[in-house]
Amino acid sequence: MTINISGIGIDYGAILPELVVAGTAIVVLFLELVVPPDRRRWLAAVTVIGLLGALVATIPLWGQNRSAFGDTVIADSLAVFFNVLLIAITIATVAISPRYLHALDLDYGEYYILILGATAGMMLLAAATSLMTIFLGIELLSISLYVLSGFARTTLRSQESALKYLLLGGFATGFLLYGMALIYGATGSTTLRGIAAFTTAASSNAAGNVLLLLGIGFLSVGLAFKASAAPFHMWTPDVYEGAPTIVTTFMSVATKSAAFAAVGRVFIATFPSISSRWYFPLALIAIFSLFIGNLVAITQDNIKRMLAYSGIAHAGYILLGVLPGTAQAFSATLFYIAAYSVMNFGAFAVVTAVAAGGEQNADLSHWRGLFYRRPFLATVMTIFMLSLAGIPPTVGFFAKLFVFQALVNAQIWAPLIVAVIMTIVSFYYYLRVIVIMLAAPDEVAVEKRPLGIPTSTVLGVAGLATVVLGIFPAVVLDWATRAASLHF
Amino acid sequence: MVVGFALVAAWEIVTAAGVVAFRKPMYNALSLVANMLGLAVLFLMLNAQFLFAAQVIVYAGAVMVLFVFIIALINPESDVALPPRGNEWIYGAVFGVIFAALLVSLLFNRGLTGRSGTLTPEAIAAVGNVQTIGIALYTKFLFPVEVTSLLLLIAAVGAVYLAIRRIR
Amino acid sequence: MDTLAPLVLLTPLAGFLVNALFGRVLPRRVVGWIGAGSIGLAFVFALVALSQVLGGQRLDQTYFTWWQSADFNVPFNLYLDQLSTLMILVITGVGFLIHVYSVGYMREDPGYSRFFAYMNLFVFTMLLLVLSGNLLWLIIGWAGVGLSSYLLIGFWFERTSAVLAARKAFVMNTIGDVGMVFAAFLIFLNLRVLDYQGLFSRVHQLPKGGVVITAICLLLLLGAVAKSAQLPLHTWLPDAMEGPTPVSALIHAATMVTAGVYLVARMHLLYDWAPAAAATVAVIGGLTALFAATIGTSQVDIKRILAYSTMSQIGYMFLAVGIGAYAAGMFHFMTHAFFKALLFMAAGNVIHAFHDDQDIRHMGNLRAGLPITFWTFLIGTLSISGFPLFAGFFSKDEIIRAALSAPGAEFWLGVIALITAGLTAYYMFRLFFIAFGWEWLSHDDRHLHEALPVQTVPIIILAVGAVVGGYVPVASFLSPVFGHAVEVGAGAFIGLAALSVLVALVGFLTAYLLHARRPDLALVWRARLGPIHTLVEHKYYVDELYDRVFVRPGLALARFLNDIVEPRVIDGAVNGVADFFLLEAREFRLIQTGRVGTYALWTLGGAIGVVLVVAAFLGYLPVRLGG
Repeated sequence: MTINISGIGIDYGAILPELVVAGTAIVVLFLELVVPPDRRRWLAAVTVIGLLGALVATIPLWGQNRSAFGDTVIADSLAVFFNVLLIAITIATVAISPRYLHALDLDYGEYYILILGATAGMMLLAAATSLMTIFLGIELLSISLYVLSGFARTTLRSQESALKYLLLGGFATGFLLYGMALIYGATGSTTLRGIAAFTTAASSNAAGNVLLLLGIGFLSVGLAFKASAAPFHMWTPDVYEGAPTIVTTFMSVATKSAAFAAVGRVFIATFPSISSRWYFPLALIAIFSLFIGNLVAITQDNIKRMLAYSGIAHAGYILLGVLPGTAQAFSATLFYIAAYSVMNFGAFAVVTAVAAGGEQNADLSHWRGLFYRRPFLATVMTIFMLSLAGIPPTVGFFAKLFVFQALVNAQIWAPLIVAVIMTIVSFYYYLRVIVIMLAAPDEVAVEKRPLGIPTSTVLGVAGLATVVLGIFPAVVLDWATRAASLHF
Repeated sequence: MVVGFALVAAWEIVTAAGVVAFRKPMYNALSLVANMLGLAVLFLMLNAQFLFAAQVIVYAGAVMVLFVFIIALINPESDVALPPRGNEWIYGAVFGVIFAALLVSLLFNRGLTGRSGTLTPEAIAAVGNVQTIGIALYTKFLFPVEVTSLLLLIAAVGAVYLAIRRIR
Repeated sequence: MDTLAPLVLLTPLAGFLVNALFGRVLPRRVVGWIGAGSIGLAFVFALVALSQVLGGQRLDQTYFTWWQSADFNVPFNLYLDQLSTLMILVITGVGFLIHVYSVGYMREDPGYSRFFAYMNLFVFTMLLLVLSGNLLWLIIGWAGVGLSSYLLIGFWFERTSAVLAARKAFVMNTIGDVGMVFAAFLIFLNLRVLDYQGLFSRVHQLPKGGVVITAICLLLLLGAVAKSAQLPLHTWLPDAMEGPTPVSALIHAATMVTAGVYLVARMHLLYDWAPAAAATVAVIGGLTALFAATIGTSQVDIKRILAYSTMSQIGYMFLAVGIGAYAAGMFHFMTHAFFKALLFMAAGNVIHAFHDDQDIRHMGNLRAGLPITFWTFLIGTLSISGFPLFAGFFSKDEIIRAALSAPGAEFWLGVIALITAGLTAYYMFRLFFIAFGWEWLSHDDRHLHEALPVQTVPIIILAVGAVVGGYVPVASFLSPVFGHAVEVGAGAFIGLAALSVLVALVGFLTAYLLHARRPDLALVWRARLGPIHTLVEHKYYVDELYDRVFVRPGLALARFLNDIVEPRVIDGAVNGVADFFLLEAREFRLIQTGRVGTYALWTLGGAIGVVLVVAAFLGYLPVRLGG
């Protein structure tokens, strides 16, 4: 008996970005032992260098189609698209982290290790082509984020959010895994390629296979939970509010992006032949998210909770682009994810910067007159709010436009009408933030700390990108189109 | 065979209910041990002898013993009964029963249309039980296994952070 | 020409940017100059544009293609014909005067630079709305004026009433915006164009009076009705008077609220193609004119009376464009901008003199104290009441004449317009007699002060406009856009003019009798009218009706969602979690009974939903899904 290891397609080049990120985590783990406590900023620098290395490693994979390790993982344009996005998000997060962590006295090296672990998990999820790797990617990012949510160990709120996230995340993982088991039971394969082969085979009658359909249903429950789409969104406001804001910033965009990468790979690439079977539940989830996210956001007085519900609503919009099941529509989804990442990261980063500047309270009433105290922060926040609302000339406008256009082309009316109405409803709570920031300040004098160059740079770049991409959306759309089309 | 499976399945349901229903942490933990033993028996019935052994040794043995020890060590008052529950569990029970009933009726109405696997007892016997798993782990599932190691490393870092840092 | 239009548009934008970015560090004088000066400059550019338009030029220039794909492209193009020229002249001209007035009116307000920044933003968005050559940018301008209106109504945000009014305006306008967006959708789906030129040339591809074109026109009308405060989306306008008075003059009288009229006039080819929708426009206009005028007779807040008057006058314009008398509607838009801006600014002077008291019963006898305000207000009142030779006489008469001489059911709308004319004269003179007084106080110790010249000069200029504006040949100027109006004979002209003058005279005499001569009679009649008066005084209880039918159920829904979706932030679990990692048994309980269980139930509920969907697909449920 021999083990034939060469037959599985060992290709370290295909997973080099993930390897670099994981390797950086291990380097930081050892450095943390030798770096003196007051020099922990160095860890951030090492982390950024490692991430830049991963970025370099991922670029050559663009345009390729390298399936590796027995079809469990693939290096293609879609993976590169998400790798670049996720690495950029992580670099931006790490860049603004030291100041915030220092302000909260949370300056520990484990933070960077966990962030890198989460990033590796997300990148893996985006590249996963097997149920096993999808599951492991989700678990890797989830376990990192569970701990990161509770990273402020002395804060009850943070602890509570970590525990809630853990318990509910475990519950949702149960559904995910059950769904995977059912799919495996129905198709006899764990790789997406094998599953797709089963569903397209005429003899298998996939559309009437109860095990497969239930499996897909439960799989979508698990993925919708990670993407915080309603009605599986319950954890989102609590966790976003309780977790340290920097962690919220990271996971609000990165987790959602990674989850939708998996949604694309599973639903659009693997199950196109039975799209009539998953269209309906996904449409319901999208409509549910649009309704609950937008309507409940109106009643929120805490900016983090408001953004949490806004994120739920955006999960709905992103999901809309998946519904037609075509490459063109999925490219709209990819564009939306990129746009959402920029603007929502920016919005949360402003909340982080305000907190790091000495104003910990995320209650909206404390933002009164922010324009006069912190004109730069308030200005970029205005840009992000306008973009989230979808008002031109910002990237958020085109994100919505492309998705709506995709729905029009696919003649999908009911979700489209809901989305348009809810978009207009959403103006109310986004503009409200701007109006509050413009209002004359209260008398409270707050000690003002400078932002620091990394934070200003990250915010400036995000704000600029929001506007520039709103004027020239073609570049990113082109990338999104190529990433989406290579995939089919 | 079917009767045996039905008995073990019933055992699994009862012990799983015990995990969430008992009011003392020690009983919950012991229910979990019993549940894992039942799972091991299921593996055995599916000709997965190695998994049976691993399940008994690693989970029912090592992991759960650790759980029980921790509960016993840190919580000497574990025999103090918990106060009665609120009535929220009723909703949970109702939802759970609806969910289970739907699943069962759907599956029975439609029949189980799963695909039979290739690992028949004869095929396993030809290679050897442990060998089959070893080959699978180090060829087909090599990458997932390696990712799992990273997962455990990150989990360990997180656990250490949450548990030990608080002492400083 | 193709550089002129962007200049008109960008000058206010530049003013906005300077005041928004540097307003707080610049001296007040400079802020005011920039604010008013940028609009003045835009007015100069608009005048140059006028001379070129009179010379026969017009503009439809694409400046850049914002987005282009196979079947969808969004150009940024500006469209300058006679109609938009008239609009930008009024917006920048009257807007400039109101800005100058604001320099004086707002001089002591702490939010001086913010005010001018918002005002310039408003003018910019309004010009964008008017100059845009395609529907998308029209909608962007449309939303932009809504936004700046929202900001300006809530300008004094420390007043709860102002914030509530702003919110109400926002909600009502949002309803309209939904209509606009869906109209644009329908147009794009059916005709594959969004720019005017393409739209106007392709509209005839749709069946005349068909479902599609009627739906498009009705959806556009929804936007117009919301923006122009017509029935049934009118309730926000009186509340919008919470904003500073120059705002009321500029946005809620002269310009923004007439955007609905502009929209219908701009889309007149569409409305000509959908007679049912056009008739709806006319009926809404006629009913609003009458409805608002009756409410105006019973109010005591000077700005609210003017607000209802605005609604009523815009009702006239809707009536005109609804029956196809587009030029008459735009003519009335112009004269209305003159006299209504004048009335509001004069009212602002009075309100300042009485230290922000707006109740007309506390005023009176203002001729000696506020002579300029007094006389200009009188001119405005005469003009709006349609007294001969004043501007309002000509424009209003043209509408009434068009309605009365039209065949069919429009005749009854003409009768309504005639009755409204009488009511207008009545409530305006009631306002004038009560607020400005006719009797002389023997001893006046109120020490009223006339406003500064910077406030009175713009009013005087507008008063000139309110007199001579009627002689501007608007109809022939607009004839390239709308075609020539139907001529009526001299006899009919004089006869109808005499009729409307008679009606106005009746209104005036009633007001004189009840509020100047015999105030006791007014009390008697109020008692005699009893419930009718109460009904009118409470604005027909529309606010209350909406509150019961929409607001309360809506709030109940939001609370319901909030209560089930939104957890208590600080619940039992918080206390428990702190020590969770110490594994103390009692904390387990707190977590179990905390919200986590409820959240998990939601997830389980969703999973049940998924199973049900699968069951439906497989045919086990009465609902059939998919193929």
